[in-house]
Amino acid sequence: MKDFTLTAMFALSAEMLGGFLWPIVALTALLAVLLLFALMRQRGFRGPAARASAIAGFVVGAAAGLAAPALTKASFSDLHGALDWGALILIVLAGFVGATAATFALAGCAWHRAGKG
Amino acid sequence: MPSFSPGPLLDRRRFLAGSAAALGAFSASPAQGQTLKTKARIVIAGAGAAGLTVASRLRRLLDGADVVLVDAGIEHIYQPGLTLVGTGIRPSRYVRLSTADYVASGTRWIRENVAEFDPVASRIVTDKGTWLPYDFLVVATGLALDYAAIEGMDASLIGREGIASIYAGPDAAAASWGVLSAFVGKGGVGLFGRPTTEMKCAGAPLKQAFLADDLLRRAGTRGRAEIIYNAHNDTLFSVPLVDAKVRTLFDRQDLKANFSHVLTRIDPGRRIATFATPRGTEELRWDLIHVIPPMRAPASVRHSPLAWQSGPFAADGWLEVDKATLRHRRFPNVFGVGDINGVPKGKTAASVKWQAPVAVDHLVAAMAGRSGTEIYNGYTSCPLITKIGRAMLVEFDYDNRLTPSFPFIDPLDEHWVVWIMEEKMLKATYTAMLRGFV
Repeated sequence: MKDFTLTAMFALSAEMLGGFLWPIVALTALLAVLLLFALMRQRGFRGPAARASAIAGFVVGAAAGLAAPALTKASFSDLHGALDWGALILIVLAGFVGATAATFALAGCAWHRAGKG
Repeated sequence: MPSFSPGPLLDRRRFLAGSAAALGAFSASPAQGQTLKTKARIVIAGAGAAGLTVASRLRRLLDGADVVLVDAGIEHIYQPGLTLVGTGIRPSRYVRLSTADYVASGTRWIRENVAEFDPVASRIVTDKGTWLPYDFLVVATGLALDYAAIEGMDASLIGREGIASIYAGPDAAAASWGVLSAFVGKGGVGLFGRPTTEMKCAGAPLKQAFLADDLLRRAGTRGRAEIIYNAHNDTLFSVPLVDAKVRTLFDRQDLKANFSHVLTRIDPGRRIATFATPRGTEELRWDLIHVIPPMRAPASVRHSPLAWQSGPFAADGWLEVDKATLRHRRFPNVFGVGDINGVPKGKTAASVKWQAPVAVDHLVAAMAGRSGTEIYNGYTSCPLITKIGRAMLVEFDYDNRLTPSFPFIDPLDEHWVVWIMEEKMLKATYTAMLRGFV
């Protein structure tokens, strides 16, 4: 575990993502800024934007969980024990949180510009 | 036995070390972020996983050194992926990389192969006649596959007459998938096994057997097939705890095991394999045979003073290094990393990850006139695939102690997460290692 330094994790991400790394980092940073803006403008995670983003998060999270084994050439019957099911839950949560945050970042700003909520 | 004569080269190394100390080139270990100023010449024989990794690490730690990689291979093969190619999980292009992409900046790369090692004179000679003197040498040549040691076998047979063998490279692995997929469709007798020699990735033969079983089950043809694993001794895996687990899996999956069966001859026309056993020879017919060739050191090492002169590693010419420091036991300015080492364990890519920092530590320390501190404990890792979608993360040391990197992963349990690590993340970890980052 001591070898999993930030540098090593970044290097690993760079190897996995290749040319997509920096665009993903930039997009994530942009969405983070938009999310902060949306939270400020909406005065928190509330209103129609929040409801829409929660629905989107639920859909994406569920889809991620359903698709994850197949995307790794496996099936649900291959999941074994707390480790595997815990990993699947983390994938679902990551999908839910990521999609919710991204959707709220965009919807929150769009709702604000439209003068809603 | 050749003796190491200090002579002018050791004087040069003493001068380099003294200069570094006198100039106060470092006040802390280079591992703590500082570089060592030196004009040392370091030759790395081989630009495979071990050579590239060592070069990357040295370039980060040394300022001014002449680091030279010697290897004619322009294509770099991601060997841990050959199992996936040989079972149709990945295409052959998945394992093909370019050496040039991983040669560390500032490293000279001589596209020739080492033909001769002269450690007494501290120089190597390439197959093109180039002489390269060195202050320090890292031997990272990898090993040689000896298909000819099996009578009737030749690498050109792979993909024909039901003969598979993933070790010969991406094309051979792809051809092996061809014969395996034909076997999956028709069934019959599938023979698997391993040689008596040291070998790289000793778990791969078992993975092939398990994956063949899984593919047959997925195709609905398992009832028409018999899978027989021919172990070279009385175990299926060298680590007793893992051996017990593998035997359980064999029973569960109805895989048969013959013990102390060593493949000595094949007859491709009749599809008969001959095994040496304690009770004499035994012939087995095959519809699929996965041949793992005996392995030994390349001739350049085997025929040099660098090879073990006696003991269990002498017959196949492995590099004589101290198993903890990876420094040559008779030539102190020589180090070994990777498959070439004559040590009890450690012929996997994961072993390179742990060996490289140790060898580099002791090499740099020798340059600086001090002692290194890192120790290699024999770490070997085998993500043992038991079916598509599941694997066991088996890690162990010289003493056959399980040494899990992740405390939450039971090394004797099959997991989807470990399969993901093998199939999705291992290649990225490997290439990050080549760049010296992990």
